[in-house]
Amino acid sequence: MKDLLSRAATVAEQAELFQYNAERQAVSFESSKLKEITSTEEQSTTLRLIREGRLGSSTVTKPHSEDILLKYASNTLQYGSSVGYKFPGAARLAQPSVYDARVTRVTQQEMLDMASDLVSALHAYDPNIKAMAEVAKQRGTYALSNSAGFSAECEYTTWLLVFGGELVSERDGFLFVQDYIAGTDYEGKTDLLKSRVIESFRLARNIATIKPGQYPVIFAPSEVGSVVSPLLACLNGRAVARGFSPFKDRLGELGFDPRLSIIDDATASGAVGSKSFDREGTPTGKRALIDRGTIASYLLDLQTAAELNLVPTGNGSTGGPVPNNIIIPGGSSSFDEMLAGIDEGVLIEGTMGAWAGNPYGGQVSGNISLGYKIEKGRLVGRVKDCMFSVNAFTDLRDNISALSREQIWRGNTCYPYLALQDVNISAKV
Amino acid sequence: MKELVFRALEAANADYCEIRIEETHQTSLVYRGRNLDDIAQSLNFGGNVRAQKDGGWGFVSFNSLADLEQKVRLACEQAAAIGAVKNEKSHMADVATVVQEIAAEVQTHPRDIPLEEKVDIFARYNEIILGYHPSITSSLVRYFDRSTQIFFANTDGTYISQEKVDIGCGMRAIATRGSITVQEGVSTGSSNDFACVLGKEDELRKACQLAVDLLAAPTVKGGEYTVILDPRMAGLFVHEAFGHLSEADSITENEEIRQIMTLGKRFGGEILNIYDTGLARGNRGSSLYDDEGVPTERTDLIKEGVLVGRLHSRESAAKMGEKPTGSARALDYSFPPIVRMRTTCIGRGNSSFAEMLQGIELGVYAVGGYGGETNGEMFTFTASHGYMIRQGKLAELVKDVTLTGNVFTTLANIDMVGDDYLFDNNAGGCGKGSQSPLATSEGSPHVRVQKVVIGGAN
Repeated sequence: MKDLLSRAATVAEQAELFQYNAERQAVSFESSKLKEITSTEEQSTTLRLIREGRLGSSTVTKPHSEDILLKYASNTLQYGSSVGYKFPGAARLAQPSVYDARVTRVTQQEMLDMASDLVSALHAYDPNIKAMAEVAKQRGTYALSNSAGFSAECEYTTWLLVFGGELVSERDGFLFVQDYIAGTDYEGKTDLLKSRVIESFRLARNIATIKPGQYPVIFAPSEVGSVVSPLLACLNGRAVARGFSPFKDRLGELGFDPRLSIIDDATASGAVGSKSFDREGTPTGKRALIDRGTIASYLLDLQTAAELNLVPTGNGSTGGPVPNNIIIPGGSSSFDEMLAGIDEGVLIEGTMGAWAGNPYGGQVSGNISLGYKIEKGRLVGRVKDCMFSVNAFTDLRDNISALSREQIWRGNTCYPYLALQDVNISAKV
Repeated sequence: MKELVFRALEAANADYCEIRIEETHQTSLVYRGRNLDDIAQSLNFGGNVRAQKDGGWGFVSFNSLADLEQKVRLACEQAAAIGAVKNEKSHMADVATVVQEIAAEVQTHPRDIPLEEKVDIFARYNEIILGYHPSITSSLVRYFDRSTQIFFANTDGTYISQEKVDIGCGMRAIATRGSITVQEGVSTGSSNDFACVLGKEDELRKACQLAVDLLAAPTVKGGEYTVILDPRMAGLFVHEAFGHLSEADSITENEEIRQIMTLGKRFGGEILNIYDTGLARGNRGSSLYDDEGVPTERTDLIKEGVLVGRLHSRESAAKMGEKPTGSARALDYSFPPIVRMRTTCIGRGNSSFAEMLQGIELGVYAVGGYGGETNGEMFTFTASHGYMIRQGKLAELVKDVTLTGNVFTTLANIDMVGDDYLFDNNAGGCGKGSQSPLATSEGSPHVRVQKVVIGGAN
């Protein structure tokens, strides 16, 4: 594959080669029983070519398919998108920690024992709960080189623990709880994961009723992403460059509550979204997208940066700009203080279908699949058969009552609890 | 290939072992606004070995066929490691052994259409959107076609080579006025005919007009309503609300769900018929055999309101003492097959749309489907737009229509099923576990449901 760049030079003015290899092992329990062990070997090679300002690309996963790769990429060249950029050259790169040799040393038996321990903990709490657990490890490398002289490689690991359960009863219907830990470093301690899942089942034991109306609502860190998803969609350089983001031409404008910041951080140690260079060879970093309420930066790849006459932000991927790790800094209240201040409201830990709306309108509506009624500062039981509805643009500007000091990392996000006033809750009358 | 896979399977030391190898050639293109943002051709090649021993499963996936026997041994060792703990009987329902090489029955094969022609077709659609109205500020036009050659063999002696084709396009007009942005579009697909993407001009212009109209439309008020679902929304509903519940792999190990899903139990009125089929040729998700080499079929799920069947893999069928339904499907070679839908349908009824409107003082007509989700008991799905129904007549256009409800209550609350019909082959797909988007489709007439909760300001 290495000589492919020189072969590509015969058909294109610029060329870029991305190679990916990974090995993954996982063990899983389902319905409280050991289910399967899986092993995955993955490899792929992507070639992008630029000729006369047009971009063509191809990906193959079949070994020894250089000829097909070059042919397919060349085929698409004459129709490809008009590009106003050049592939970047060599650059000084930060080196966030994304590899932990301990992950590679974990044995299959240790993974089985860890999953078994998680399932046993839930069984000990309530044998009627059908527990699920997955323990997975991955080691991979990716390498990017281009005709402008960029050449870099990264070796990474990923460690994943997924744990949860399902409780079905005539009285309470279906109850699903699931949580996870994902990072690049080995994490052998499972107490926090166990306690989060068991606490959710404990809180859901009672059923509470709620009438339709407007209530103060606390979104748990697991659901803050649903509320801010329209902001991330509208901060995406593609939506801005193509004119359908309402944030176009609004950099520097105070659009949200000054307590709200949203940061994209590719340098966070041990986080799954961390990297020293993006998929196009742009060095990554840490930057505020929303800085104390002000629209501060978009997520940009080479193409969208060129279209907007801005500098690429290190968010390039195969399909346009994407976030690396998204962090929302915490506020001044503790979660307990937030809870104590609510006379009647809802804590939302899980939603369904909240992703399905039109993000560019800011509207987010979903079923509350896991939520608890708050009465006089206490969680009194699970609410069911109801929906929440917020508008991210207006509610994150006018309706934030607090952000918690506590933040929880999950995969490539780190969110606090977020309390909003006057959230619409629809329920059966 | 046949010789290669059967020779490798000789290394199997398990109760059951299978090899699936796939080679997919794909073309995709995406217009966003004036730009042809992405255009690519790709080759996705890989395979897997799946083995069962004493009730435990091992699964190995790969891109290289080198050392295939070693991969068979590894999958069998993994299965044995699980089986040693479980020490259960392996369950795989008996099916007839098949040795067959099948060419896809394709009317117009996408590989026969030059790339230039595909680019031209979608450039024209994109121009229709962008030139329709000054309020339309952008477009999103996506197209893909895939042609997959699948080689499947197992230790029962089955060998199937079959080609599957999947074609889809989704085209959206994005309209903006001030801080309001809305989108409307057309989506279509097929498993056997490139022509499905042709002749969409008029439909696309209607969608553009709707996008413009939606800019001034109010958001629906939250509350409980009588709702008429158009065939696309009804299809989305039957897929999300009942189809997933019919997938037997979630039933086999859970006694409580088994009780709820007891065959013979009444779920709705006599007007309600639901089935899932792999035989609807041309629909996305149809095929002759599933990914375990089992012939597909039409599976009745609800007949005249009563639960009569469910969707099975060989394992779930054996565990429940029922027959496999050809419903074991994998997203691609890197995943094991799990129980999935194909074309999920509500059977035709006998009510006209005018009859459905009668008697509704205040209701909502929910049209088109953005998407939805279920957790078994509860569902949520979002319409692309809706109309209020006032005093039995369609009234103003509304946006942001998201419905939720309890699956069982909602099925029981269906009081009218339409006499019209539509198959929806949109370019989206179904998600389950990490396997998404899998090609599926739906079929339905209009359906009326009482007491549906709609989200929004009260």
